[in-house]
Amino acid sequence: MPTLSDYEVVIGLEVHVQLQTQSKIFSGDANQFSTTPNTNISAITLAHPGTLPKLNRQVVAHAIKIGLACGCHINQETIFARKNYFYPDLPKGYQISQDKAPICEGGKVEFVLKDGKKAVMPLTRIHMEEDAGKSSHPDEGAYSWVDYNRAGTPLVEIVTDPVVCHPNEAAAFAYGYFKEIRKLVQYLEICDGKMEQGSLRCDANVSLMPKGSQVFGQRTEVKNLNSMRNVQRAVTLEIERQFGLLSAGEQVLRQTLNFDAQKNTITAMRSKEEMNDYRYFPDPDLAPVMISDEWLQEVKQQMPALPQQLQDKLMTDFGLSAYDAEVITEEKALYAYFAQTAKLTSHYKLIANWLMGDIKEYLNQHHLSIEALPVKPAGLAQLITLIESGKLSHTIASRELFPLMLKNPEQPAEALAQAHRLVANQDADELSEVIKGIIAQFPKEAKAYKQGKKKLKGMFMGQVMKQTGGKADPKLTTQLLDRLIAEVE
Amino acid sequence: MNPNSQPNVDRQTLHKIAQLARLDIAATEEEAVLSDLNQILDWVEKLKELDTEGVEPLRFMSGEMNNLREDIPNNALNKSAALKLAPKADQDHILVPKVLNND
Repeated sequence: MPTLSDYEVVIGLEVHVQLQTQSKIFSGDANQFSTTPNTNISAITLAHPGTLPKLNRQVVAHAIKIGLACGCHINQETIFARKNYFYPDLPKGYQISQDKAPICEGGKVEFVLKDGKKAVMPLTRIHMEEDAGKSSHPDEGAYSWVDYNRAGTPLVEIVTDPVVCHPNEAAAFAYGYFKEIRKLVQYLEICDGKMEQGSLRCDANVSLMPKGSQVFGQRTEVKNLNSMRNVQRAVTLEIERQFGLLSAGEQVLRQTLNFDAQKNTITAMRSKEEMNDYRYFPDPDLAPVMISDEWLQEVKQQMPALPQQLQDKLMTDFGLSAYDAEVITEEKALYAYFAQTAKLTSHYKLIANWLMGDIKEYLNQHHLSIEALPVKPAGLAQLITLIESGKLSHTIASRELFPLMLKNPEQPAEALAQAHRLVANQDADELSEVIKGIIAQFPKEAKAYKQGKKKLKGMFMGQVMKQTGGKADPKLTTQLLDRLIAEVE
Repeated sequence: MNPNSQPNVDRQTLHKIAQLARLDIAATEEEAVLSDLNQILDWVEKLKELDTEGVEPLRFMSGEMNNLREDIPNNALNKSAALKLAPKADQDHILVPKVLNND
């Protein structure tokens, strides 16, 4: 019996990225996500007779940016084509896209897999196109509903080369790539990255071939995967499905498939939907685009630092682990928060711990983004400085001061700590008295500790904290405890 | 393409084109539509008599380049006006004969 390991998977991904612009790609209606149907529309979007598309300059600049970020060749002369197909969410009867001479060709995306290994996805091309509207099909009645808000939203479609993978690694590879694309477009500020609103969507082409074969197997395409997790699940499922067919001596059919995230199933679209023959030809309504050297240079100068570069920087300049660096660069705003805090305090590991611990927990609980956190980088830096100077134990900072700061973001951390009597007791005389009292209370334990039963230290520290309400400076307490225990007879 | 080839739309091609355009061609219409299509192609075929040796393909009628607009929202269409122009609509959507999706 052949096993899955006797096969190799060939995978190719197409990611549609909705570009962040004020207006649509070929018309002036607002490019804005809206839940009220048919509010962002125009005569051009609805393809009323006599209307003509006119290209949004910003879309070209955004497409150049992603091309530069992926090391693509930028075609400085690029044209649009009509992709003909008939569906109610496409009012013209064709989608304006690019076929020959797309704006970007070649290039690659480098990323890090979950296990820390580096990976590279080679790209075939990146082209500009318009999004379609949305149709829904209520169970009742003889009509489908069409909403054209999304029609004409500028997109870039990023198309990868087919890549040969081990069957057990293909899904993680697809996941990591899609995640990196989301990071990239957010850092470039060309897309808001909001998966739940469909800002990024992925189609996965999957096929299986016997290990070592030079000939790719029959591929299928799973459409419209709208989260990183769904990409991973759908690829896993499709590999299993194809393996099942091949093992049973059946053929994989060339099909377009739907992934149902709720049921975790893959089903074929109706065969009629698949009979596509797009009959591409250059769109005579749109003049060719010439990207001058000056324009290209201008966009190059606007390129920000990219997530992989920042990840390296966090590791080399700030001494963070690969994992910390990966998490902090996940969102551009999170990295910005880290960078601003790091200008105010050099306890970088502590900043990372706070961002990935208490702060992340608070944000998740309240469904907030880091920008909406009431405590700003200056506040976090103050908090960390208080901990580092011994004025505050980590426990008190986390349980008491941080929640207070969230409620009183305008007040300096130290003033808040003072006002609520949270500042650690750093009075050596007072603490010595407390410790002496405890030693007197536990003479047997004190003796045992002195004779080397180091485990008892925790008990003594606990007693000190109990008696001081957790406000004893831990460093000072340790020093005093060591000294006073040594004096025990 | 071979310049001497004769265009000829057969029934199979006719139905493929019709399917791509979501048109129903009744059996009684087939002959008439086939004849029309072939006449159109014959007429286009005539253009091939021209000697285009060394002439670049003309893809765009104007010699224009970079006909671009700035990214400024304008000319949006009022929702009720747009829906009024549609053959059928409710208060929110344009309605079209039901498209059977993936069932």
